[in-house]
Amino acid sequence: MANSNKTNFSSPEFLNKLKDRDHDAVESLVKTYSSHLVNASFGLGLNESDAQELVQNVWGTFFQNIQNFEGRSHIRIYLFGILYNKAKELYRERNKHTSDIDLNTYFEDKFDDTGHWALTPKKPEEFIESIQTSGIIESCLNKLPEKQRMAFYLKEIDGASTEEVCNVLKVSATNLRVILFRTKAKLRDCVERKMQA
Amino acid sequence: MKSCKEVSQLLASDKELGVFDKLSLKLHFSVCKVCRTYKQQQEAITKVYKERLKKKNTSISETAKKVEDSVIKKYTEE
Ligand SMILES: [Zn+2]
Repeated sequence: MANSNKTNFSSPEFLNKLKDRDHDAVESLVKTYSSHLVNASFGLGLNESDAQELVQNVWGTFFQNIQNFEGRSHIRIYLFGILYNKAKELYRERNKHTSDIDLNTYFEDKFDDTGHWALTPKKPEEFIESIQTSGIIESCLNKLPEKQRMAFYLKEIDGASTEEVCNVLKVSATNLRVILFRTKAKLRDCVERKMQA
Repeated sequence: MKSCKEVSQLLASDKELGVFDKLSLKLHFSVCKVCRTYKQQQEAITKVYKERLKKKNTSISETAKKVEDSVIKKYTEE
C-alpha cells in the first residue's frame, strides 16, 4: 500500500483533531485515502456508483466509531478492514453467488495417476493474448468469495505486505498463502474455461 | 522429488511450510516446465488485470472526488 501521507495520521494529536471534526484534519485524511479506497472497490469488481456508495459507507463507519479508535492499528489498515466488511455486506445484499473449490475433486481432475498434470497448458504468450480484451478476468473475479477477492486485490494488485493483508483479513500468514493459492488456481481455471467457450 | 500433484497439494495445505518444504518447491519449479507455465499463466492474469484497472484511472479519480466532497461536507458541518 503506497504511503503518501505527510501528516502522521496515527499521532494522538491528529486523532484528537479528527474526533473534534477539525476541518483540515478531516480533509487531509479523506483526501489521502479516498482514491485508494475507490481504487480497491473498482479492483474488487464494483462499478462507479457502487464504489462511490461503498467508500462513502466506509467513511461513515469510520467517523461513527472514531471515538473508540485508539490508533492501535494503522489508520490505513483500519480503513481497509472496514472496506472489507462493507464489501461483504454489499455482496450479501446483492445475493451474489460465490463458491470455493473442492480441493479433492480439483486434484483428481487436474492430475493423472502418476501425479503429472493431465493437460498441457497454453503458452503464457497465447494465454495473455486471449485475456487481454474481453471481460473474462472481471467475470471470474466476481465469482470469488469476498475473502479471496480481497486477498487477491491487496496482495497481487495493490502490492500490500503479507502482514498488512493478514491484518485486514484477520488470518494467519499460512492461511493467506492457502487463500491465495486457491484464488489464483481458481481464477486461472475459470479464465481458461471461458476462453474455450 | 515431489510430483506436480504433491507440489500443488503442499501449496494448498494449511500446514506451515518448513525449510525443507520450501526447498523442495523451489527445486520442483526449477526443473518442471509445466508447473512453471501454470504459474506464469496465473501471473499473466494479475498483470493484465492491473493494466485493465489502470485504464479506469479517470473514473476512479472522478469517483474519489465525489466521495471526498460529500464526506468532507458531511463530517465537518455538524
Ligand atoms: Zn510440476
